[in-house]
Amino acid sequence: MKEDILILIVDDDEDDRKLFIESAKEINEGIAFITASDGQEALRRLKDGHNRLPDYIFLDLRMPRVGGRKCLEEIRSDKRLRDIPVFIYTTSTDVKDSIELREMGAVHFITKPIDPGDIYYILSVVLDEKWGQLNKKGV
Amino acid sequence: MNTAAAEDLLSKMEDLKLRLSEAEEAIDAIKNGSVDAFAIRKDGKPEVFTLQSLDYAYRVLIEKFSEGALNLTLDGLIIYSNSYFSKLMNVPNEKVTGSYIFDYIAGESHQQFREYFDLALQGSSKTEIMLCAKNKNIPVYVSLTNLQPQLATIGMIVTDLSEKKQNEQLIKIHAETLWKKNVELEHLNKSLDQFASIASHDLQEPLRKIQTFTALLKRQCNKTLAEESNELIDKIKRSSERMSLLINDVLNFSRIVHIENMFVKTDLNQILSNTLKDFDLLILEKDASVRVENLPVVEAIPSQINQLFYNLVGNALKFAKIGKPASITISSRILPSEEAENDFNSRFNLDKQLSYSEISFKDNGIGFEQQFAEQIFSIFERLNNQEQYSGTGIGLALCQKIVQQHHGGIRAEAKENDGAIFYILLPLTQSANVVAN
Repeated sequence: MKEDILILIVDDDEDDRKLFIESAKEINEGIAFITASDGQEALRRLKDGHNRLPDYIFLDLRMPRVGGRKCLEEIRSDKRLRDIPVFIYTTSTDVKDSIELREMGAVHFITKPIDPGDIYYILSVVLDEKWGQLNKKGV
Repeated sequence: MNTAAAEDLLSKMEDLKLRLSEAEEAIDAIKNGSVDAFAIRKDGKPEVFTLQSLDYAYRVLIEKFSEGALNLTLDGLIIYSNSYFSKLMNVPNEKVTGSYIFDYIAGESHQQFREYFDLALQGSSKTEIMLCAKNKNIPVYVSLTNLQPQLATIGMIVTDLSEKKQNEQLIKIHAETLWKKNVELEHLNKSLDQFASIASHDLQEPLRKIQTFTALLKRQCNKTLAEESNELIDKIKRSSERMSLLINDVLNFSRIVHIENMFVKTDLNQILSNTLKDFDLLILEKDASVRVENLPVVEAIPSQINQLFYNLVGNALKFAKIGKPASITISSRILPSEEAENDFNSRFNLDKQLSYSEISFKDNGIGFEQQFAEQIFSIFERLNNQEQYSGTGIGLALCQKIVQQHHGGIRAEAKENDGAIFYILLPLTQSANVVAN
């Protein structure tokens, strides 16, 4: 389906990627995922013109090689990528991080929930607009 | 008489006339006080004759100087030097007199001294140069004054700067050491900051996993597991929640130190009312009454004061007596200056030029023995067991750190089973020259 939502999840933690995808699938089977295990891999994928661009990016902060901060910077400075909403999705609870990253252009700063059930609610809120549109279209 | 002999006599007479007029001139000069020394060329070398009786009193005074004092002709010949200068140069005084000042200037300062000497011919000049004594150079400050028209000489005062230079050198070395230490300290602070944040992140990460998978396990197996096993899962959950709290508190504690220049005029009433909103539910639950009197406006870091109030109100509610409605009174007064140095407050090193507000948090809770009143502010210090009263033992240490950051103080008064009062001292302004409204 062309109007599927495509989400890129960038996280070095395999469990977190899995939990995230499972929870999101509970919302809508139609959401498609691509994953990257660090910023470098994510950027390589994003900059390859052959690939479809994701509708949303969920970005972990602390990752090997290219971390979330650097990755966000690169996304914001690339004309093709800069309009994709980026959500920071991290263990950090640091308010300073939160303020800084939103100043850098992140849409939201989300602290990874303890209960994976909460991912469902977070995603529902985050995707609400698009999700509503999808529903109307009867996907 | 032949003509040759006559001419010779004539020329001798002319010569005698000239010498006579010179002598008369000299006598006149001595009479009117415009000269007190003569330099006469003898065998190609100058020889100096001074009239010692003329200014004997001044010479005695000048000899007592702890600075070099010299009198120079306009071409730099020393016609007088006090003994301080000759000692400084390590040359007998009689040898100094009759020598040229330029002989005592170190090579590196020669040109500079020449320039200042020429300047002095027009009036006066002052500069720092190096003198060259036997096998060592001496830094000095010289002041040159043209004594014309009264005297055709230049007065020169020489101040030895060796000690001053040594002190300067010492100060420089100390300053450098201090600077190095400061850099080290900054470095350490940064590492500590990094350590705290990395440690807390890296500790938090696996912990969150434990919590996540415990939650999943509980959800998936809730009905199939035996009640005892469910209890074990709950224990894991509670322990990891506590660990998580601990990590966050340690992180908050480490963050307090590094905030600078964030002091703004802060209405404590507003901060407190925000804090109390956070406790709405707990206040209802504990049937607590909170009485707040008017609090001042002080120069403070709002987020930290919020944390401070949050901890103190939280403690008052947490340690309320079971089965008795909690009652909390928060009030303030300006600390009278005579109380700033009493037994309670002297250890806070309060600034005498500042006014302080004393804010008190009084509760009717379980209190504690007064002997523990200082200990409670140490990090990880707890007076009650974990089962009854949850907490990390960081709250009051954090409070103390915050008031210290604000250059104030905190102390407690309590009785076992009979409530506690926490007193906070905060300066109204952070420096004496700013007046808070």
